[in-house]
Amino acid sequence: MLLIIILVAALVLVPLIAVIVIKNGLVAKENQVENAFASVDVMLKKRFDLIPQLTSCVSGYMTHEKELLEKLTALRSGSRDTEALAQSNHELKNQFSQFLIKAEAYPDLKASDQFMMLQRSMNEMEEQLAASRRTYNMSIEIFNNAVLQFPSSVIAKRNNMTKKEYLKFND
Amino acid sequence: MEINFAQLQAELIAGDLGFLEQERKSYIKKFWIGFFSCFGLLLMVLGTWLVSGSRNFIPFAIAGGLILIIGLVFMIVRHQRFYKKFKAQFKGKVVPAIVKFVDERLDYDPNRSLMTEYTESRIFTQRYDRHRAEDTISGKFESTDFAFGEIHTEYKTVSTDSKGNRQEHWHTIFKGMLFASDFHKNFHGETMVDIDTMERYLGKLGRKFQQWNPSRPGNLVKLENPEFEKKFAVYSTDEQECRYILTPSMMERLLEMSKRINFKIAISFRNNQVYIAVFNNMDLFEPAVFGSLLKEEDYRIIINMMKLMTGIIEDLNLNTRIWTKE
Repeated sequence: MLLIIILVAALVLVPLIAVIVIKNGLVAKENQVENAFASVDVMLKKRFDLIPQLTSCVSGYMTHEKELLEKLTALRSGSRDTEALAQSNHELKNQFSQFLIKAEAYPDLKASDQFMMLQRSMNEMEEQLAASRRTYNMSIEIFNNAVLQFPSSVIAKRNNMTKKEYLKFND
Repeated sequence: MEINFAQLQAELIAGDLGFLEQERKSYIKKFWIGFFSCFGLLLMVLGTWLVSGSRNFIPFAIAGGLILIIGLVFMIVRHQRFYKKFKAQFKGKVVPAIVKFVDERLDYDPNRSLMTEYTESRIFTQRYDRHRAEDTISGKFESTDFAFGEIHTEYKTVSTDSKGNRQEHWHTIFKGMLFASDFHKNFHGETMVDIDTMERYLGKLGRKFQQWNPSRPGNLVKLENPEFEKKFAVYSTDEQECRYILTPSMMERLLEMSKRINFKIAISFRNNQVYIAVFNNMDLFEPAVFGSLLKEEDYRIIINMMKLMTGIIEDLNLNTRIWTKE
């Protein structure tokens, strides 16, 4: 009798525990994605914050950069859409490279400590941003694998968890 | 830069190496004279006993034993005295010349130890009971300070046999070269790169085991480069910072470097430094008494190892300072 009770309990408990563990795993992976996305966002904002410093450093003779700043402000919309982020990043990079090309014409400016430091900071931000994007994409890969692979795919489907998009920048 | 061994050898022989080689040969001559004198005396004792026809062997055995013991003690003391002086001369004159020949910016210190760096790296979590750390080469290439040196650490275990005899056993933790250098980026956490053996042999199960490695900081980090993932296991206290350090190009560089070094390696990134342990199991700077000092192969090994170590600066692009760290 006892054996039957244990067997029945095991038959009910084991799948129940498995479901709870898988569900918790999926939630943790989804949170990891959210967390990684927040880091990308922080890095994008930090990088964006550097632009005004850079342009103020050269203000007075590069009016084009003021327009750029306005454009960038418009890009900083806090969008959570990966394609929109990729697009704004692409635009920022384009504008920034043009800015650097223009700065080439001013040797005194290029040699100034402040400008050099800001440029180094910009490079640093680029590396940090690339790292956070890679972290985000890896968390997406782990989440997507869980969502698509059996048996977690069954629980993901019941909880309306679907495959997420990677963040692709045209570096 | 290619090393011209013929030129190096010529310069070394013209300098102190030629003199040292003469001293070594003269010592070896004395050594064999001593050895054969001892052997001859023993034969004489044996011969005298045979000729005398005496049945009492004990006085002859005592005489033979005394000759053996006195001869042995004399030879050991003389060898140790000679070797101490010989080694000091080799390390004081010949090795610095080789080091400068490889690169003028390098300095050699036979007595400097990199044990602080060994501990700081946290590559080795096993407590050591004895160590030998010496023969350090240091330098500064542009903005990058670095040093590398030989380290041998061991731990002790004690066992007792069925008769109650206590026996000590020494086990090597690390024998090889430790490289320590400034890293070109600032970071705050800890990242460790180990050779991946678990995953290679046990696949996904091995990866599960790796996740529970208590000797490594933080979590196991999965990176995007499949070849790098196959070769190394990466642990970090900060996953994002780990990717900031291990950029795609840095992973490629580390893979290339590990292929070139061709020994097992372990890497740690801590305190804005990079530490690389190369398990080469060699004593590179010890002179051989019973072999020629002029063997090109010996210098080739030393120089190749030095070039591999100094090449790490370029391999890992450590002189590129385009980020906030100057």
